[in-house]
Parts: sequence; structure tokens; C-alpha cells
Amino acid sequence: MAILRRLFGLARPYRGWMGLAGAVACVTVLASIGLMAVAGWFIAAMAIAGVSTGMMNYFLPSAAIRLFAILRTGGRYLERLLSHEATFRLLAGVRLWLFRRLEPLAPADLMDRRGADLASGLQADVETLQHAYLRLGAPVAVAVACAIAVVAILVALHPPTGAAVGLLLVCGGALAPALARRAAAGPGAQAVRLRTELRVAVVDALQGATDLRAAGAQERQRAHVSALSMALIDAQRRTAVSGVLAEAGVGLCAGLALWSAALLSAASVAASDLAPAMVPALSLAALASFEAVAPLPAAMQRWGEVMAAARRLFALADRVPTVVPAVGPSPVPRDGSLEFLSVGLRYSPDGAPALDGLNLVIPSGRRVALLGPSGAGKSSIAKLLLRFWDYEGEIRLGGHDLRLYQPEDLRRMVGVAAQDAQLFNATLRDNLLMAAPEADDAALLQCLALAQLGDVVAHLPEGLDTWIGESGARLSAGQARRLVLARTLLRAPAVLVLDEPTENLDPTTARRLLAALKVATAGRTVILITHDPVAAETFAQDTVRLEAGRRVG
Amino acid sequence: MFGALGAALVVPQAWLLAHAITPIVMDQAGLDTALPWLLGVLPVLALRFVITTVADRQGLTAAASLKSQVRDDVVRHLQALGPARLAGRASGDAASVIVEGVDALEPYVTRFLAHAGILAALPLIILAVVLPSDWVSSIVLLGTAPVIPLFMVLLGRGAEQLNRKQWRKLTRLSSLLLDGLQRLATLKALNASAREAERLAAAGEAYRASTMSVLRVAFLSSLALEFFATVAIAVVAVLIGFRLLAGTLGFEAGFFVLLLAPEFFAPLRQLGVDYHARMEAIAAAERILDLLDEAPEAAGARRPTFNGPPAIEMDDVTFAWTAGRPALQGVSLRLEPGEVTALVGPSGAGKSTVLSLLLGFTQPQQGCIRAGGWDLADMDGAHWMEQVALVPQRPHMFAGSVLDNIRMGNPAISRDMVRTAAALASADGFITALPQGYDTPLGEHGQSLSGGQVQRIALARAFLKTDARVLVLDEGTAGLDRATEAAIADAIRRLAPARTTLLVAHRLATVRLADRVIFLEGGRVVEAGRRAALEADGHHFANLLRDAGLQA
Repeated sequence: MAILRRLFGLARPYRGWMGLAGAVACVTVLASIGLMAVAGWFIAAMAIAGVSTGMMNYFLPSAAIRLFAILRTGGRYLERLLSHEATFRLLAGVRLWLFRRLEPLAPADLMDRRGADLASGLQADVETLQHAYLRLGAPVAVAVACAIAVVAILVALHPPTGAAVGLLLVCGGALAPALARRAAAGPGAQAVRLRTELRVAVVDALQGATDLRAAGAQERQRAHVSALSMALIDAQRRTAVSGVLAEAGVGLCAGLALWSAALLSAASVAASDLAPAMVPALSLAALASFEAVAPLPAAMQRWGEVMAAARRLFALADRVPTVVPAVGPSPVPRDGSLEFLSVGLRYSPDGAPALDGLNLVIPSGRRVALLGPSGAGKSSIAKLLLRFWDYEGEIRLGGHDLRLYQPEDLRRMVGVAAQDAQLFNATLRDNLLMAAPEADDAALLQCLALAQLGDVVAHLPEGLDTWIGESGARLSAGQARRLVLARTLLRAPAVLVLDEPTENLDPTTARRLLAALKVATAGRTVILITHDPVAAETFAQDTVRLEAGRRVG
Repeated sequence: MFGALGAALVVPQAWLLAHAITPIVMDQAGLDTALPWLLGVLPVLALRFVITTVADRQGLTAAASLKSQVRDDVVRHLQALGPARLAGRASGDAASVIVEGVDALEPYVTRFLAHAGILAALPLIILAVVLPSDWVSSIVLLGTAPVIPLFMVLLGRGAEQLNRKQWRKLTRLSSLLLDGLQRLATLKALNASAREAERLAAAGEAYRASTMSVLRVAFLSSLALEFFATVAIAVVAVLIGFRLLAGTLGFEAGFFVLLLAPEFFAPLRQLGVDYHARMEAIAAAERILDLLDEAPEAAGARRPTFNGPPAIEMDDVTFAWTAGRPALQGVSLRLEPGEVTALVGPSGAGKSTVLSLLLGFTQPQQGCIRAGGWDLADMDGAHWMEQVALVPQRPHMFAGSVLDNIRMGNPAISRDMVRTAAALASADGFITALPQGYDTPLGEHGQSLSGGQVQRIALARAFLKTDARVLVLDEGTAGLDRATEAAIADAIRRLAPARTTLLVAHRLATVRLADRVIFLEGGRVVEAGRRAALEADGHHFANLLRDAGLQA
């Protein structure tokens, strides 16, 4: 219920559009029912008049038929437009809401216990949710409103028929879908689990293709995938069968409503309690009233899916950021010096410390190389300087506590060319402008040349407008790394952290790159993170060794 | 057609009802005259329920076998493409298509196709039964009937084209959000997250505006459909009414026709509702076809026996991954049997391409590759891989235990054999220290291992291939710890003597173990010979060692 309330809360800004779409949908459905009921009454009354007086005022009923016909036709069109309008507005709103909620959490609070990124698992959930209104919320609301209206009118006209139709509407619209949902719960949960397993097996088959081929195990993996696929399909089929039964159940209830309306009204006519022309009118109205609940079984099948997606999204969006931004305005840094005083960091409460009482002073404008094996804590230092994680101890930048700086101001001063920095599926230019939107082409080309990408770009037919592909897939690993570097240089920060810039480079290019960087970064505080002693020696003025989060030399 | 039969039961149902009600409405007869006919409706309703569910189950079964078939075909196809061509694809995307994309085909079969079947049959049946009892109404229905195929075509063409484009845009919009979320850390580091939020908002708004302008037109086709259906029902009702008043038509026939008139249009309206299912299925089918786009290369069939380590030669080989950008140009080289050859050169020189060709993952566009005198192009790829013990650059850890990861799921390899291989690869130590030893789960949801540990698992896999005549070691590009470097050196010393060995030395960590060196640059061999000789006076190799700080 709490989740439902929050879903409504998300939809609140669009309630005008939604209410309008729902109202028009109700008018459409009721017009449809009215059309059939009046038509039934009209032909019966005309037939009776035909064999008796031969006189009848047919203007009113035929006008009603025309009116209902117009309402039904126009209403359907308008309703589809309005409901789509509402959906798209909601869709844009939910995306933006999610992005803004998750932004303060990244990256520290968007990871699970094993360090996997939680945001990437959200896409399916967001998609489920964006269709929730169109395919779940609207049909349910319209069905309930119309069913109540129809039953009320029928009760007024002929209470027994009203009662019977009401009962059958509940059976077909609520009971059958609910039973189906219950029957589908077991295989549904099984399907969710099997889908994850299948996905893992498929990724294994593709990413592990080399290993599988080398071991002659391709057939085995394919059989594994195939078996999981069959199991998944079977679970899905069992889920769907209950949906099929529910849908046929609605059809059966509609038939029974028609039947009971005919029977009950005929009995009243026989007892002279009801005008004869009401028999076809009530029968057709009873049948047509199921138009309101017909979409319910399909909608209810989505119920569990939507609620689960909403629960996951809210759980993530509700996390409280562990890194608390400073309250006041940022202090003015004295210079680009850095001091680490017994700094400690753990990525998870029960994990080993990534930094363990680190003490390090880097005077302003000094080039320092951080050496050490992987896992020594080198990259963690960069993350702390960006305030991505909270830490123990104290870090001072330009003489002031790092925690006193507003995150945005801090990130203007500190530039990190991270190992795991990502590129965007856009052009070279757009990727660079991400860092400095107002930079001109000359500045971009200069930074690219510094990063030893000048020749590469010069040889591209489209130059800066070259599309670099998903995560920079059209670049080699070394080129992608250097593009990240160029992007960082473009911002000209006072403090630079370069994380393994020579990774994936051949020794010759690596030597040139370091030489160029040395010149370009003169006067700025630079931390070069590397595992390569030769690189450290070429570039840095001081060398610091880390091991297991501590300084060892 | 079973579905159409179930839908057609509406005809006897309507006839029974009309027959039952007529005496009550017209003659105020007692309930007992109507009751037998009314009771007759109940079995019809029951039968309709049964037939509909059976038909829908049949649809589900058909969809299930289709999905299973498509999934198997796609996986088979991608495997046949070979690892080298797979490497260029995002496997996460491909997995989404294979898992969720194939699932999206189901509603198309169970809903759209099933309802299209009913649409083809039910209007004709209704027309056939209405014609004898009321020809005026059947003319009204017939007059609107040509509209049905017309709108089928309209729904199928013009509007749908637009809809499909919008649908693809929607998919792109989702990936925009995902892009932003996955790169949040990078955006924050660049102080660019506020700009990204604006971009996201603008994209959402642009999508809404453009889609709505398309939909306003696209929905017109369903508006017209609804209009014809509603007008036809209204006209039928009014015309019946006036003929009843004039006494030229009986009430029973009139009511019967009025009951059937909505059913005449029901399947078509239903089909309009199903268009989402169709749209999703088409989008999914397009993505599936994208995966099947690239044709695998023709495979050879020869399975020669190798009695000792074969000499492997590349003879004037030219190869390009994409036309016009050759990765290798006229490369000739020879790996001597029983010797260790290292392939070195700057990144992008073509080392990985040589490897893919030698492993038979892809075939040269020019020139030929021979192993022990046999042309690789004529050889069965799986058979050739049986001769090769391979340690890949980035070994993959599968979902499963350490044990199964080392023996690659082969049940014929015992736990003891696995332990022996792991010990030879210096992996036994860290494996036994894992929480569940050899039964510790690895892979996406299991224990994560360091790069060095993964390399040693891959070495253990290679040690299990005792019959292999060729050893290929593709050095990782990431830095290795000392234990792993030692393990690799040890493994090469053990395995190399009876084999032809190739080291791809990206980082030069293993280059000192080689007898011979081949230096590749810009897709050509620029230097080749004994290592000692090249170290002394080889221009390229000696320079490379010096730049790497390896030359004393």
C-alpha cells in the first residue's frame, strides 16, 4: 500500500492529464453500453408499436443512438491521445526524478556488497514502471468507475439484473484475475530466477567463447543454455495459462450476465413488473458492461511485476548518501598542496581496508608518483579527492579540510583521469565538451595533441566529429584511455590525478606521453598512479610506495 | 482456427437468446416458454469457454516452441561466428536480445496472430447467417466490410511505419537514461551531472512532442475504424427499428442481428488493441535479425593427425577486419616445432589478429596458414583447437564451481586430475584457501578473483590438455603479480619442450622465455630472428626493450 501511495505521489504532477484521460475513457465505455441498451430498447419498442398502435415517437431514441455513437467514436480517439500524453509526461518525469535521486548517491551508495553497479540493473524496472499507468493504472481505475456506474444504473432500472450483473462483474473483473495471479505466483517467481540464470549462461557462452572453443566445450555450453531456455519457457507458459483462463473467465461471465439479465427481466415481464421492451435493453446493457472489465486480467498480470519494479526503484532512491556535502560556502584554498593525515577507507564494513592510516604530504606544484601492486589503494586516493567516498582521518587541500569544500567547487579544482572513467556514445568533440562546455576547437585539439592523440584525430576523416561508439568501442583501449586524459587536461584543474595513463600503450608512445605531460603540467600538483617504476622515474619528482593501504617508502 | 470456432459460437448463442426472448417481449408469454431455450444457452457458454482456453493454450505452445527454436538458432549462430568476431559485439546487448527480445515474440503469436485468425473467419460467418434473416442489415455490414481489409493495410503500413520509428526512439531514450546512470561517477567528476539532467529532460520532452504529433495522425486510423463500427451498429439498429414499426421484419430476426452486429467488428477492434504487442515483437525481431546479420565463414572438414609438434607457417597473409583497413599486410612467419616464439610490437600492430588467424577463429582474405603442412582453411576448426592449449588474454570465469571452471564442465575429468593441473599452475594454494575450496562458485554472481588468479586458472585449464601439440599464451595487458609471472614462466618451461609455443608478449613480461622473436609493426613483420641476436643488434626490438626499461 505504501508503495502504491508513492507511485501515486510520483504521478501527482500529471494527475490533471490522467484524470482527464480516465474521465474520457469512462464516457467512452458508458456510451458504448448506452448505445447497445438504447438500441435494444428501441427495436423492441418499435416492434411492439408495429404490431399494436403503429405509432411511436422515435426521434428521442434515435437521437440518443446517434449521440452515444458520436461519444463512443470521438471518446476513444481522445482517450488514446490523452492517456499517451499523460504517459509520456510521466515517463519524462520519472526518468528525471530517478536521475536526480541517484546522482548524490553515486558511486559509493549505488553498489551492492560485491561492488557491482546497481544502477545498471534499473533499466527494465524503469520501463516496467513507465507503462504502469497506461497498462495497469488506467484500465483498473476506468474499470472500477464504469462498473460502479453501470451497476448503479441497472439497479435503478431493474434491481435483480443490477445485482446479478454486479456479482458477475466482480467475478470476472476481480475474482478471476486475482485467482489467476495467485496461480501464476509460483511459476512467475521461477521464471524470474531462470531468466537471470539464462542471462548469465548466455553471457558466459559469448564472453567465454574463446575459452569454450579452446576446451572443446561449446556444445556443452549451448546445451546448458538450451536447457535453461526450455525451463524458462515452460515456467512462462504455466504463468500464461492462468492468464488465459482468467481471460476466458471474463468472457464466460459476460455470457452469464447476458443470460441472467435475459432470464431475470423475462421473469419480471412475465410477472408484469417490467415493460417488455426492457428485456433486450437490459440484456444488451449487461453484455456490453463487460467492455469495462475486459482489460483487467491482462492488467492484473502486470500487477506483481509493477510492484516489484517500484519496490526496487524506491529502495535504491531512498538510500541516504554517506558522503554529506558541506553546509557553508567553500573556503579559498591557499595553494595546490595536499596533506593526508592517518587516512583510512573501507569499501564495505566487513572488507579489508583500502587505505589504512595513510600519511602523505604533497607540496603545491610537485609531481609525485604513487607506486604499488594492484589493490594497494592507489586509485582510492583519487576517489577520496573527488569526495566519492567518506573516509577516516583528515585530508587537507590548500590548507583546508577537504570536507569543508562544496563538492562542485572541489571538482573544479581536482581533475582525475580515472582508470574506470567512461566515455559517452557521442562524438569525440562532445566527449571532450562534457568536461568544459565552452571550450573551442583549438583548445580541444591542443589537449588531444598533449594526450598523443593528435595524429590519430588528424587521420580521421571526420576529425572531432567522429562517433566513438558505445563506451568508446571504436577506439583502442589505449586511445580511450588517452581520450579520458585529454578530457581531464581540458579542465585545467589545479590538482591532477593521472591513474595509469600509460596502460595499454606500447613503451615508445608511453615515453612520449609522459614527456609531454611533464611539460604541460609544470607548476601544478600532479599525482601519477602507476605500477611501472620506469614511468615513475621518468615523470615524477618524488616517488611514494603503497602496499595494503599503507605507505611503505 | 480453433479460436475462430470458439468465437463463432456467438451465433448459436444469439439465436437461442433471440428465440427465447421474442415471445416474452411480443406476447408477454410466461417464463416457461422461454426457459428451455434460455437453458440451452448455458452449454453453449461452457463450450465457448472450453474451446477458447484450448485455442489459447495451443497458441502458447506454438509461441513456446518458436521462442525455444529462435533462441537456440541465435546462440548457435553466434558461436559459429567465432570468438574473434564476437569480441566486437557488446555481449550484454546480445544477451538482452536473446533473453528478453525473444520473449517479446510471444504476444505476437498468442495475441496478434490468434486474433488475426478470428478476424479472418468471424465476420464472414456472421455475414452468412445474417443474410437469410435480414438482407438489409447484411448490406450495411457488407458496405462497411471492405473497410476491414483496408484498415488492416492502413494499420500495417503508413501509421505503423511512423509508430515503429517512434518505438525505436523510445528504446533510444531508455538507453540515454541508462547511459547517464551508469556514468554518474564520471559525470560527477566532471561537474556535468546537472547538464546531463537537463539533457535528459530535453530529450524526454522532445520525444513526447514528436511522438504525440505522430500519434495524433496514427490514431486516426483507429478513429476511422471505430467510427465505421459504431455507425454500422447504429444504422443497423435504426433500420431494424423502422422495419419493425412497419411490420416488414420480425422481432426475433431483428434482435438476433442486433446481438451479432457488435461481434462483427469486435475482432478488428481487438486487433487495434494488440498493436503494442505487434510493435514490441517487430522491434525485437529486428534486433534478433541484427544478430543474425553476419554470416559465419565456411568451415573446413579435414581432421589430420599430428604426431609431434607441428611447424606453423603464415605465408603472405593479408587480413582486414573491416574492408579497406588492413590489419595485416603480406605477413609471412614461421613458428618452429618445439621452440618458443614471442610475438612483440606496439599496440595496434596486429598481434591479436595474427593470434585469431593462427587459432582458426577467422580466415585470411589472402595468403595461407599451414600447420604441419595442412592448410588451416581446410581443417575442421574444432579439431584444430583440440591440438592447442590456450591461455587467453582475458580468461573468462563461468558461473559454476572452481572445479568446473578448470575442467570446463567436462565430467570425464576427475577432481584429482583438476587438483594436479591446478598445482602445476600454482593455483592449488589460493584455491584451497577460498571459502569452499574447489567448490567455490565463480562467475557473475560468485567469488571474484584477481587478474593473476584468473590467469592461473586458465593455466590449469591448459595443463589439462595433455595431448595438445601447440601452446599459445596471450599475455594479459594488465600488470601481473610476481606469483603469476613465476607460474607462467614455470608452465612454459614444463609445457614447451614437446610443443610449438607462441607467446603474445603485449607487456614483454614473458619475452625473456622465448627462443625466437617476431616483431610486428603496422601489420607487417619488421624483424624476426633469434632473441639473443635481436637483443644485440635488432633495431626495433632493442629499442622497444630500451623504452620499456628492460635493457641493461
